[in-house]
Amino acid sequence: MNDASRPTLSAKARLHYDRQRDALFLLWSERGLLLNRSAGEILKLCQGDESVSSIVNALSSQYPHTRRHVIEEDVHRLIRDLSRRGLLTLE
Amino acid sequence: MGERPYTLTAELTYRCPLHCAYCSNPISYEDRTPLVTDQWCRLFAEAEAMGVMQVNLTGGEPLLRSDLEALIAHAHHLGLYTTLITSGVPLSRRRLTRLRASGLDAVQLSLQSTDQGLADRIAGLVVHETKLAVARWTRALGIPLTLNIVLHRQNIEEIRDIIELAEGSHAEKLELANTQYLGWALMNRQALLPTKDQLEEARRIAHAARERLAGRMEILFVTPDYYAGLPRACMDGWGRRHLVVSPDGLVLPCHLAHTLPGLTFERAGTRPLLDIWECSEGFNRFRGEAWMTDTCRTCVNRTVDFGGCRCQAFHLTGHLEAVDPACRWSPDHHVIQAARDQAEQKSERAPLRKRTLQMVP
Repeated sequence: MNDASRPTLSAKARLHYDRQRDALFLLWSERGLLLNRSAGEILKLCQGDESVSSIVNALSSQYPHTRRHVIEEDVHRLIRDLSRRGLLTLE
Repeated sequence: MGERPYTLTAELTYRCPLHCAYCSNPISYEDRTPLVTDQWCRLFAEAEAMGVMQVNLTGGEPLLRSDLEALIAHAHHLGLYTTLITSGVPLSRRRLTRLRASGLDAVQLSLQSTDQGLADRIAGLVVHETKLAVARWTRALGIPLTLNIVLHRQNIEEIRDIIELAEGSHAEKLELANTQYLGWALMNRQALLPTKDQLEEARRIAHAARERLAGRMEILFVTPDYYAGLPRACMDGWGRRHLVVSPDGLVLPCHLAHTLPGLTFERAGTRPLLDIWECSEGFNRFRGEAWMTDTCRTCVNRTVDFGGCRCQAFHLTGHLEAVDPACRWSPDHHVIQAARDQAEQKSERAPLRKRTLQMVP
C-alpha cells in the first residue's frame, strides 16, 4: 500500500446500515463486523475512485479538530487489516 | 431487548441427494408440511425487522426447492446478505446464473474429499466432478465462493491437496470443518474421529497455509472440541445471535435443538417472530447462566463458551444441564477421553452408516 493506492471493498463484502445500532456493519458470507464511526467513514470512501491520500484529505477536512497524522494512522491500519483479510483490494 | 439475532439459518428442506455419514440434520424427525414460499418470505421480513442481516439458505439441499430464486429475490429486496449453502447437486450453470440474478451474494459449496472415489463413497453418489464444475461456474459468474469440507479420519490426511484444490478454484474461503459429533456423526463416530497425530498434523499444515495465503484465501480451521479440552461456543451461545428455522417452520436456537426432550419450540407464523425469540420457553431455557451447574456458573470461561453445546451435553450424558463433556472440568469428560482412546487403536475401518431420511410417522 502507498498513498496512491486506491482501496475498494472486495466483491464479497458489503456495507450494511443497521437501524438498531445506528451503525454500519461490514458483511461478507456468514460473517459481519460492527464498524465504529471512523471505520465506517473510511470504508464509505473505499469505492475504488479515491486514493489513500485523498481519503485522508477528505476525512481531515471533515474532522478539522483531529490531527491529520491520527487520521492517517487510522486509515492505514484499517486498510492494512482489511486487505489482509481479503475484504479490501488495492488498485 | 437483551439479545438480538444477526443471522437466520433457513433450512429449506431436509431432503438431500447426498447421504453423508456426518450429516448435521436430525436422524429422524416428524414429517410435517414444509413452509411454503410466502411463509418463508414473511419470516425473512420479520427477521430483518428484528435486526437480522444474513440469511443462510441451507437444508438438506436447498436447490431442491423450485422457489429458491423467489426466496433469494425477496431476501435481497429486504437488504439481507444471502449465502447458499449447498452440495451443488442438482445445479446447472443456467440455474446458478438465475440465482445470481435474483440477488444471491455468496455460495458455500461442500466437498467430501479430493479423491474422487472417496468423495463419491462419502456422498453416496457420484457427484465429485459435478461439484468441481459448480465451483468453476461460481467463480466465472463472479460469485464469492467458500469451499467447505468436513474433516474426519478418512480424509484429514489429504489436507494439503484440499488446500491446493481450493487455491486452484479461486475460493475466497476454505472451511476445514472438523466433524461435530452429533446426530449422524455421533452414530458414526468410531469411523470418523481422527487420531491426535492426524489432527495435529492437519492443524500445522492449515496454519502455515493460512499465513501464506493471507489476503487471498481465508482458511478456517478450528481445533475440534474433542481435542481442545474445552467446549465450543455453540451458536455463539443459546438464543444470543442465531435463529434457525427447520423446514416445517420450527423456530430454533440451533439446528438440533428440537432433538432435546422437554423443550417447547414454536412454529413460525403462530405469533410474531420477535415474541417467539424473546418469550418462547425453548429459547429462554439456556439463556443466561441460571440454568448452569456450579461448574459452569463459577467458571471464567462461561462468557466465552456460554456453557458449550447443549445437544452434545444431552446426547452424551442424558442430562440437559450437564457440563459439556468436551470440557476437561466435566465429570463426564471420560466419555470424550474414551472416544479418543478408541480412535488411537489401529482397528479395521469401522463401517459408516449412511444418512437416509427417517421420518417418524
